[in-house]
Amino acid sequence: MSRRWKKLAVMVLLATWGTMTAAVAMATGEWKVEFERICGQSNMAADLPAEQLERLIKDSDTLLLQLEKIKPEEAKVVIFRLKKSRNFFQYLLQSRAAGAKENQTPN
Amino acid sequence: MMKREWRCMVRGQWWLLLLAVLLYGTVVSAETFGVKKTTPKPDQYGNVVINNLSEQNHIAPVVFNHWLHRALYTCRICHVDLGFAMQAGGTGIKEADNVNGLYCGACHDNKLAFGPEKKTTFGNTEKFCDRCHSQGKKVTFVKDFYVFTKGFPPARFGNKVDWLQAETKGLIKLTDQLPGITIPRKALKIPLDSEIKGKEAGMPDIIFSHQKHAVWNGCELCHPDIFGVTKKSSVYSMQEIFEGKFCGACHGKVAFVNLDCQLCHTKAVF
Repeated sequence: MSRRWKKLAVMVLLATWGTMTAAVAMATGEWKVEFERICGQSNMAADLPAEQLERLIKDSDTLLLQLEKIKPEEAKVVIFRLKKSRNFFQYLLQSRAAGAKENQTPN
Repeated sequence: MMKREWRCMVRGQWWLLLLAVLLYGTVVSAETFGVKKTTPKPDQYGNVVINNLSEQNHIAPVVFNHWLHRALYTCRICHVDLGFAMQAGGTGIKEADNVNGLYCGACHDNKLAFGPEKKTTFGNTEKFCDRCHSQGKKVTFVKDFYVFTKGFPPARFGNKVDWLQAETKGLIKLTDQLPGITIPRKALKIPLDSEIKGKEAGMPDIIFSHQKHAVWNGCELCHPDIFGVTKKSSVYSMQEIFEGKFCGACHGKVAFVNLDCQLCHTKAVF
């Protein structure tokens, strides 16, 4: 087996392991850790820098995709809650941008 | 002859004509300004009838009393953490959801609050369906509104209770975190109060208190669903508030009635 093939095989193995770990984590409810981390930031979100808010929105979108795979009866409240936080982060970004635009407008 | 008879008839029935004009005027003004709703009794203000599937399943609809729940918990526990929509019937709760520990079932589990049924010491099952599915039934509740609110600071409308004062005086203590139900959150940093310009000449401006609102609601209950960023979602009229939009999402339904002008329009006019 050439070196290139060995490298490819290792990469495939790592990717499979990553996917399986993520799937197992989702199945065993590890999404809750990420869910609580994201939603727990709402209270102090107004003080967070724009980059961090953008990151939180991205993380929320990733988690929302994953949550679609858990039991629908459990997911509906979690998705509702996560969307509330996600939309609030976006609201903060948009209102900051709107405020900045207003300050730039000549009187 | 005919003309004279007609004149006599019209003269005799002038009041009928006046009545018709008045009636027409009332209908037209009702169309313009809205129709006055029946004022609910203090113990019924804020009640929500939930009838997604109840009647279909031959059971009385649920009468949810806001007054008791708001006296114990912050708004955001239910409307953010537990996923209850802000519109009546908007959540689409099913019995299976409650059994699975969602929505009402998150607390009504025989531990935190009464559940749908309970095993007695003799092994029988006692059912408590009527305590929630109570519309049209004569149910004696464990907590009576008038007994519970006796001695609470009065208000002019709604439940006729000044809930804010009741909390300030320590008569009610609202729970904002429930282990296993709410997300552990850090202390909320309250934004500054803001001033909202009134449109009516002579009407004092509004001093909006984030302090009063954010403690009960958090941030994500109002933003962006009720108050957004765009002009359309941040500039509003009293008419829209009366229709249940913006401040009217709570005020006039559960929170103090928006007929008490001076509770919001508080800026001194001099």
